[in-house]
Amino acid sequence: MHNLLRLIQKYGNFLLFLAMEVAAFLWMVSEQKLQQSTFLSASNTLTASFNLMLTNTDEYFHLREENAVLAEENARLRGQVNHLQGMVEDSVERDSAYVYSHLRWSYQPARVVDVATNSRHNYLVLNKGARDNVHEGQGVLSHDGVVGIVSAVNLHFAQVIPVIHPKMRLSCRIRRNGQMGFLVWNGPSPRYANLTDIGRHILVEEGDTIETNGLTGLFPEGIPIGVIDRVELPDGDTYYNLRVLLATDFKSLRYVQIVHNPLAAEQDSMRLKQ
Amino acid sequence: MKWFRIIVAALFLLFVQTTVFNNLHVLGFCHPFVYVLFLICLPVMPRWEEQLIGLAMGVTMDCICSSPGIHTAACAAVSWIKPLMLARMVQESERIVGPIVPLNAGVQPFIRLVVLLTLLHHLAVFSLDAWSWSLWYWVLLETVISSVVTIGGGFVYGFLLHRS
Repeated sequence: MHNLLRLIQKYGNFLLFLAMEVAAFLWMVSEQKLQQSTFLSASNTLTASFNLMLTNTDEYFHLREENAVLAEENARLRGQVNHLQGMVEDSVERDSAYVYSHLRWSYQPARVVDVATNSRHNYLVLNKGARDNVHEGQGVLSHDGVVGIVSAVNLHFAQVIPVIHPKMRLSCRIRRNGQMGFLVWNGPSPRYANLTDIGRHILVEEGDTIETNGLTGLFPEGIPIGVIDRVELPDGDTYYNLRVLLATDFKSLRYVQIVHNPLAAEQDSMRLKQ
Repeated sequence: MKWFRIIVAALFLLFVQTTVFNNLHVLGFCHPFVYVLFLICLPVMPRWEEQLIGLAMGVTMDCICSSPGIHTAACAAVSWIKPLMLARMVQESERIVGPIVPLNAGVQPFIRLVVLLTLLHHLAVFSLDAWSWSLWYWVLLETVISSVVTIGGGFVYGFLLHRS
């Protein structure tokens, strides 16, 4: 016992250091598991609340910009409403399934209260949670295009894994020719991602728009993701290296829309049955 | 009074870190963590106290940055090594009164301490964040570029402490 006390006295600081490192390591490992699961940690909730306060202050200084963006979006939405009204009126003669497929989506506005775009493990936190009928697996859009997918929710907040996350692999297509590919992000810039699986036999040009293909049931088809910014075709390679300038600027993202698709679960269940 | 100054310094650096440096994004490689200067400039005190302050700072940063354990591990390393380095660089370092600034510790030891501990801290944070050997070039680049900014901030912070 005496020797043990002497040992602690002599190496106490080092043992404390070791204990702290072990605790930090365990925390790191356990939280990574939590990230894989779908629950937000208590610390995330606290941070989100803190960031909500910061965001409220920050928003005050951006009201003019926000007004301009909202006015622009209002105008665009009004145009869409007119277009859809026309479709509904025409639908008497058309297949009702066609109209339903366009009208089944609904959108829920949400505010970004926390965003991380500078690391490899980027994420967003929204001020809508399970109480607002948000659940994991829902798509998230901005007024510019695709943002990401809800990965976890608690009562008041939702965590979103954005397209600028290494684990994200979003099925999409080139608008001009309908060629399907996957959007992936390997960093470091939050403005750019890569489009993969586009074979060399396909004609691809800089400026081509990348959009959602509607296959996942998370997003309606035709939502812009970005534009091809750089086209590379290495010698002997089967696929293009395509860099995509993302439509969404994550650094200035303040408002988003959570996509509700009542048929998503039904569509998913059929995919599982195959 | 000593603890009041320490708390004010911690809050000031945490505020600057979260509002300014956490939002800094240059080429995707520059993520300075100036809050580590708080640990570097901490006055001489019993080592276990210094280590526990490092732990508290690391946990706070991890909660703010949603980076579980990463800053805690780096801060634990800094707060353990700092007194050892200080003892090697400054004779009778235990007699230093007040924060570690050029006036108290000497200009050269202060610069060496800021440079070495900043590099160590940033290397630890970026290595643990990357969690992959294949990203070593990214980790090194991030460490060097971010450390340059933090070290620059360190000299400004040292000067501010010196003036106060």
